[in-house]
Amino acid sequence: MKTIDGNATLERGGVKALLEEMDRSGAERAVIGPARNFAAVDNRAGNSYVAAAVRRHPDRFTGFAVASPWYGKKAVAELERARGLGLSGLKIFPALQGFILTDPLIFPLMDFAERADWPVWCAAGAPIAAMPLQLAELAETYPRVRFMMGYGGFCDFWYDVPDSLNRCPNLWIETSYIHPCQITPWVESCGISKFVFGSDHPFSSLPLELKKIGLLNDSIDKRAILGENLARFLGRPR
Amino acid sequence: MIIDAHTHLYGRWLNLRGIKPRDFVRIMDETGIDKACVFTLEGFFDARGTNDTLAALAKGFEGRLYPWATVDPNMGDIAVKDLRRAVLKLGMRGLKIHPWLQAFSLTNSYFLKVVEETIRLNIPIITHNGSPPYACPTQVGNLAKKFPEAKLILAEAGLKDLWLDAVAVGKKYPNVYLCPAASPFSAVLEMVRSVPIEKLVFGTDLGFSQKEEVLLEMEKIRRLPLTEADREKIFSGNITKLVDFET
Repeated sequence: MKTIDGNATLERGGVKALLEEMDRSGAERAVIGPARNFAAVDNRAGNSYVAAAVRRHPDRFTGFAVASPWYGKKAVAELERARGLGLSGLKIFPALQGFILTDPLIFPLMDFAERADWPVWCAAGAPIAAMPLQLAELAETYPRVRFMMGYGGFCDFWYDVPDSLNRCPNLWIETSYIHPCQITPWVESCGISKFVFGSDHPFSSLPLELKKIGLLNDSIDKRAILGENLARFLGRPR
Repeated sequence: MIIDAHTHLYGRWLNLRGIKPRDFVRIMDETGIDKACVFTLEGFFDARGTNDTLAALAKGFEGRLYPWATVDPNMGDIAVKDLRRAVLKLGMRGLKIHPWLQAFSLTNSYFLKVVEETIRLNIPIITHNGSPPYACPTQVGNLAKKFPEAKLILAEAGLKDLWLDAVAVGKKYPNVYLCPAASPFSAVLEMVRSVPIEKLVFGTDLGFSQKEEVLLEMEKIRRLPLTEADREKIFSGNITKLVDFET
């Protein structure tokens, strides 16, 4: 079964460890993006690092960019630069980058995503900045942008997840951290097409996250979660 | 020996039904868990009578299931009486609280009376945490500072957003222990690196979660770069120093 990791992240020096983990786990490709200081403040360095990894391993990686919205026009310029380097999506981290998802501060980056046809992955779940229904508001404000609820919206706002997904045809959910006993009823109420496998490597464990998908009951289409749904989120071939 | 320090026995929470005792013990057998500390599931919403219900559910599974009490601190002195009865008459081994669902602050004076009683009874408290506004690790740390004789276990060890707080208070306060059920793997790695290994106890949240989550939590501990002696401490050795499993 083809396995693609829809959410892996890189800190400096992290490429080798990720590739080894992917090889051990049987993951053919991963969507990668900058992590921690790269995502918070060192956006340019992070985007360059991820782009270099994609250039070296185009058969293994799809690269997403970051830009703190607090940099304003400079943030949009950085995303333009990242696009020129071959990156093809945006990751946003409201808690880490210090903004709330309903703040118009983020709109210039969303305008860029819409213009560039970039999907947007969002680190979701943390109150007060990144709750599932806050992401639903943003997804409704930008109905032509494809959004991903990162970390499955883990943890305490899980009751809000199905409504968020069902309200927004342009919102998918990534499976890191959430439990099999949550995924199963959500698949029933929201449809399998919303669910995309992600590991959040190196903060969670790729083999453990894959084992989790294997433990889902047989009625759930794992092929869809492990790759097919991601293709629709990513859009045109990247 | 594997002891699960964090589970919930049969009960109801909205549309969630817990696991009946016979099925619960079957899952323990299938996953290799020898003993489990069992808590209420529905008693966080109405604590009166919940300890009798839980004791009755666990009856017949002595040596496998070890019930813990839950009381409602909002009831004031009644909570203290309920706790004494649960421990001294029903044989319960500790106190489980869920300040978020039970809607009380860990600084509330009514609750502090309950803490004092746990010290007199020599039982540990395990508290849900990782969930603002009432269940944050630093709030438990504050409690640990006020009551150095209290034995405090952080169930979930800060969850995903507050595990750094859990590590900080686990390092700082000798009487705070971490039970990293549902914590990110990288967080558990940091816990075993920087918190004394004697402060970590294994738990799965079975009953709220299911057999699959038990298998994943066990796998998480097995993947840690530890000696077998230290792994054994997490799986059973440390909790046996906090809880009486003998009588």
